[in-house]
Amino acid sequence: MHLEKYTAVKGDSDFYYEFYSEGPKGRIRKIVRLMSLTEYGNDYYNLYLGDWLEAEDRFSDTVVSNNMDREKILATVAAIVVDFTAAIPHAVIFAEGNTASRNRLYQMGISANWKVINEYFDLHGFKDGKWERFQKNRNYESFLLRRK
Amino acid sequence: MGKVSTSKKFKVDIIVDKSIKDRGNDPAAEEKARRAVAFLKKHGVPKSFEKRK
Repeated sequence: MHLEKYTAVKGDSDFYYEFYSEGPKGRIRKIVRLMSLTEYGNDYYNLYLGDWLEAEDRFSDTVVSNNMDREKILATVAAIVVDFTAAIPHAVIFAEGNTASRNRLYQMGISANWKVINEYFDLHGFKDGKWERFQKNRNYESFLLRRK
Repeated sequence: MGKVSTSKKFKVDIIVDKSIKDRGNDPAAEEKARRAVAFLKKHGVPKSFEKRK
């Protein structure tokens, strides 16, 4: 796999990563946060991808930045998930976009990185009220993955 | 600062920088986590995932 990615940075925590999207809209600080879902289970984490809004001093996952680097961002997020699950191999990661179009975006990112994802991860998608093993070209409402 | 992980197959390059601080206080992420818990409680997880629960 030689998909172009940004270099991500993390601090002391395994649960928080940053990288910068670069494109026509400028340099946008992106954060990926793995939030523990202990209310459901100790090994469960929610994947959150957001933008840092400097003027508002807050994160947001509803901003559409349109920085023409969608594939590069998704490949970077995939790399972060690989890194995170290397540190916490028993982690089960839940991901869900805010909108159907955001979920389709995740779907495209997964499909583009499918070779490596399928090698590393057991990935399921939620559709029509049930979980199934991920299949390309199907639109899912949410995703669940863990290391094989 | 240092590179901590590189997979030959996926070229996962993550830099560790102790100056990076999680600002925390992220209501959007907390809301998503709450929704995720509600979703998982309602729909459960695939059987193959339950084994490690």
